[in-house]
Amino acid sequence: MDALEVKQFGFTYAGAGEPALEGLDLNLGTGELALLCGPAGCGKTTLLRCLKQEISPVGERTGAISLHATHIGYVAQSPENQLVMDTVRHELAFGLENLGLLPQVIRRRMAETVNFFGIGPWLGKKVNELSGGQKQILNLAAVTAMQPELLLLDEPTAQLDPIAAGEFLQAVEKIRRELGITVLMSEHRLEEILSGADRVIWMEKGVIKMQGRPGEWAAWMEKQPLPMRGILPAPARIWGRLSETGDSETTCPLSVAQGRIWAAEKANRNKTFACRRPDSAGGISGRDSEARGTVLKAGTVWFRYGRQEDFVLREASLEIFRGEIHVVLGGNGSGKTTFLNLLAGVRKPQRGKIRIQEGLRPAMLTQNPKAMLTADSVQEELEELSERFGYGEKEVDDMLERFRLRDVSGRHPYDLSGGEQQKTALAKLLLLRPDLLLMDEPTKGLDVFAKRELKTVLEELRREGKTVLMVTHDLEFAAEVADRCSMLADGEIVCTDQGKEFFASNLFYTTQTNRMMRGFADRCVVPEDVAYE
Amino acid sequence: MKKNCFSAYHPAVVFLYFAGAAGLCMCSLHPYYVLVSYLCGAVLLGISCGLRRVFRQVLATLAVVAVTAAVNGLTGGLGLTVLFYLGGTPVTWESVFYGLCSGGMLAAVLQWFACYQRIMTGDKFLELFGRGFPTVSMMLSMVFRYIPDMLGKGREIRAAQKALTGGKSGGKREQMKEGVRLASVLMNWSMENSMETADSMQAREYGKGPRSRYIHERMSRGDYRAALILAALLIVSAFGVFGKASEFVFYPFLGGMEAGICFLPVYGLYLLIPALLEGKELIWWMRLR
Amino acid sequence: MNKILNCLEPVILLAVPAVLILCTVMGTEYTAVLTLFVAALSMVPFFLRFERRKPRAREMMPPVILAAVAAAGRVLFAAFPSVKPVTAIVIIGGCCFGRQSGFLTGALAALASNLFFGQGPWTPWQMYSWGVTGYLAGLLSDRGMLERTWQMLGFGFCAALLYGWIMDTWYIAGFVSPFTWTGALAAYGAGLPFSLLHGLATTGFLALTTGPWKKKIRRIQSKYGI
Repeated sequence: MDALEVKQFGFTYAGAGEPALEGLDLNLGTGELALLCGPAGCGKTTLLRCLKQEISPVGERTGAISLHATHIGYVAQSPENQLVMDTVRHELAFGLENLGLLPQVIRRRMAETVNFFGIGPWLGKKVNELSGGQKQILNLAAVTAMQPELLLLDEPTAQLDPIAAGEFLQAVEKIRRELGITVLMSEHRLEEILSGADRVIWMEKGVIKMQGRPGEWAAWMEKQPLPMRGILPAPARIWGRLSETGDSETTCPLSVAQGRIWAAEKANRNKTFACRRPDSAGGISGRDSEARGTVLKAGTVWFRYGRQEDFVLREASLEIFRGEIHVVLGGNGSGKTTFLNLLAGVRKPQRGKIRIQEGLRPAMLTQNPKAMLTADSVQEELEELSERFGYGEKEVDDMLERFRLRDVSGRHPYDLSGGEQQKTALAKLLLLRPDLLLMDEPTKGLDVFAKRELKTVLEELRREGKTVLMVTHDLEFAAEVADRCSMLADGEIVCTDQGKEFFASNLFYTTQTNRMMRGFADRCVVPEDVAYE
Repeated sequence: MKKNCFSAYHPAVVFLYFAGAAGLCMCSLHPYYVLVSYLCGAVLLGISCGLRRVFRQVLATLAVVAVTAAVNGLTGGLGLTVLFYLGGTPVTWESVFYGLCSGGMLAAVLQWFACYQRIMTGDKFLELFGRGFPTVSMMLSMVFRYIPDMLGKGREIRAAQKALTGGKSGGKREQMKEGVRLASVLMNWSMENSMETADSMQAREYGKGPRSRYIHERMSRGDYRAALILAALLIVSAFGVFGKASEFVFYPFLGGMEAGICFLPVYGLYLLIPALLEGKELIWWMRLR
Repeated sequence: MNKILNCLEPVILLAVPAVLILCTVMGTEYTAVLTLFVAALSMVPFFLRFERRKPRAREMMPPVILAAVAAAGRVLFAAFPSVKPVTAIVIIGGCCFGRQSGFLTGALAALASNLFFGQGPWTPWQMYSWGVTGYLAGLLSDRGMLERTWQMLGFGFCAALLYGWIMDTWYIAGFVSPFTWTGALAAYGAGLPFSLLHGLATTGFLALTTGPWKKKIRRIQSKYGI
């Protein structure tokens, strides 16, 4: 029996002219794991919410949805905002209390859930002591404890770092595998989950364009124009570039492991891979950038948050040259954000010196753009500092044009999408005409399209001669934009290298392409690098 | 931070103890009772928060005692032992002494509340009062969750603003404006986020049917025993406070100092129970060694 | 039932200061504990009424958020020790979300911030005073009496003074004996600077926030239908 049947479903928001969803046909078998993908604003969230009656939006529906599930679990994007109670224990109990279960039954269910997810050690904690990834797993656990037959997940990993996202997706797979719960998940981070999924549903502008097995979908997707194609994991994109007539669609590799098998097969058939690196457009080579002079120099910086605390940064040194895009990579808790805050002058290091070239103005884009948005509309937001920093209407207008924000200029910043919020924050920042731009995790929560736009903006800035320093753990994005990369680990800068070189000389901490092609064509870093000899 | 072994008891027991301690304290102005209450409170505070905290508390409460004594002295009162004249009004020893006692009592009450704060933590309080007021206590729990969240966001916003404008902090006036703006942003941001929280509550079927309550701590046999002992001691002490110690009078002369003295040991025992439990535990661990 | 409760609520709230004054003037024994008990008890009907209403999830959030902002504000304004934005925030809450939410905002703000920053016998009094402040703000704005800015500011100043008056009166009732006007004046005099400062801070805060906050809250109200 199917867990979910959607027939010719359409939905129009109250007060909106255009339908948000149109003519959707969808069946989900029991125990299936289906991925819902598509560009931002294609109606993924609307569809998921329409399936969950308690939070379904107000508007007009057509067609039919039949659900063969008594309980439906729903997990949304933000780890923090979904938490209700102040302790982990009560958070887990919250849903069970709502079901009206007896206290002893709740105890038992909670004990089971805690064991299933392995979250016993957190049980006595306050929720705000947990990391983002832990919070999201707690949300999943709290929903799973209520015994749903269908789980709806709305971009659950968008706000998480790669490690936490991986852990979360593993937990989802475990639920599917061991409990046989049907899962429908919208997601744009596909590297880890795609090979484990049963089906991919691709939506565009409220319509299902394609649905099929992951391999079929990836092969179809590979024929789409570039910004869309970017959503595919690197192995599938390499396959798409190099597959020949005779390669059937089912062989499309979806993970690094599958990719290596495919590459080995090709190698057996006397194909030799090579690294063809197109000249990085506008990029700067090593000696060039040094010649342009140093913009910022941090020398053996030590920092800790309190007298009793451990040092977060120990002997961190970094030199940034004019006009380059410099990316600092590092895992969670390596001190990236702290380092950036020091460079931006928000905090002062206890030891060491940070020297910024005379007369240079730095500005920082925070991880969460909402922290920078304080006005009631995009227009006001951009005008806010006009007096203090001496810019006028014309500059604001140009900025709205440049970031394509004119259509939303009257809206409240909180009503914008994550990508638009970030563009607004960036526009606000650029109005101050900074020479050195510091960015904290700029790709967090962005989908491929927004990332693509960000990349374009970064390249423009480079052309204008601005310097950009970015900290991130998004390796694939870093590989695409960086002129130079540094790795921050254990409070110090461990190494600094030319952008692509950096990834080519790392073993684990590198892009999928590099991991997949290791031994076949070692120096490849992005899918575009890979070619036949 | 040490875990107090009295705090392992059921919240109802802990609450009973503190309600009794603070309640009796507020009802007795007899100097010996005030003194006993103050000293026992200091012992408990020392056990749960360390000596340094006691020292700070004592310093702070001395001010309270001084102010109350001064205010009472000014009332002139009905005392007959005139100490001196202040602008024509007599300041009498009895009224000053009354001030000392009531100030001491207030100081002791403050101390009991400090202990209460330490032992009866927010989640214990919710556990106990969630029974009568499930919705309100759930809201309180949400407030607890949002406060640290907001403090974190506040820091984030401050950092963002500082990085945006180059970190020039103006005078007090500018700071004040900045603070108000920060509060506005926090309110708006959190209110917006809270709507997602509300959705998450709905998605977990909040408000669909009758709700049950998960109880983390249950009254065990030991809890009942402790409650019984506490109640017995409390009743005897209450008899001392209301029946005997109230015979003590301030005006016109201090009198009845010896009233209710025989109940003082029971009163002290009641107040020292957490300390005794702690001592017992200490001996247990010492023997193990 | 609701009508009766609507009439009863102000009576219950008024009973507290009445008992307080009565106890002070009559010089009753055990005043401190008695009045404290009355104040705590007076809030029970309000909480129970809110429980019985079974509010929707979205209706529960505004008092929670405002109370949390108010409590967090005590830390954010740490540079200005006597400036506590609580009174002002509670007034805005009552104004925008009605008297019940206003009362709850005040009571929750007091309880939560005390659980966070230090309990004392003042806890029930703060809960009561701020609760009443929110309740009155809701009541007055229902009658359209808080439309203008000066009305808001005036109300804010009075509410702050009321708050101080209640605290001082409890102090006099419980810890000064016998009651004389000189003593009372001395005690009120000692408290007056704080009350005035509190009043000024509240007015100042209201002057800066009333407009923008109301606008922000209205936007959220219309967006989410609360």
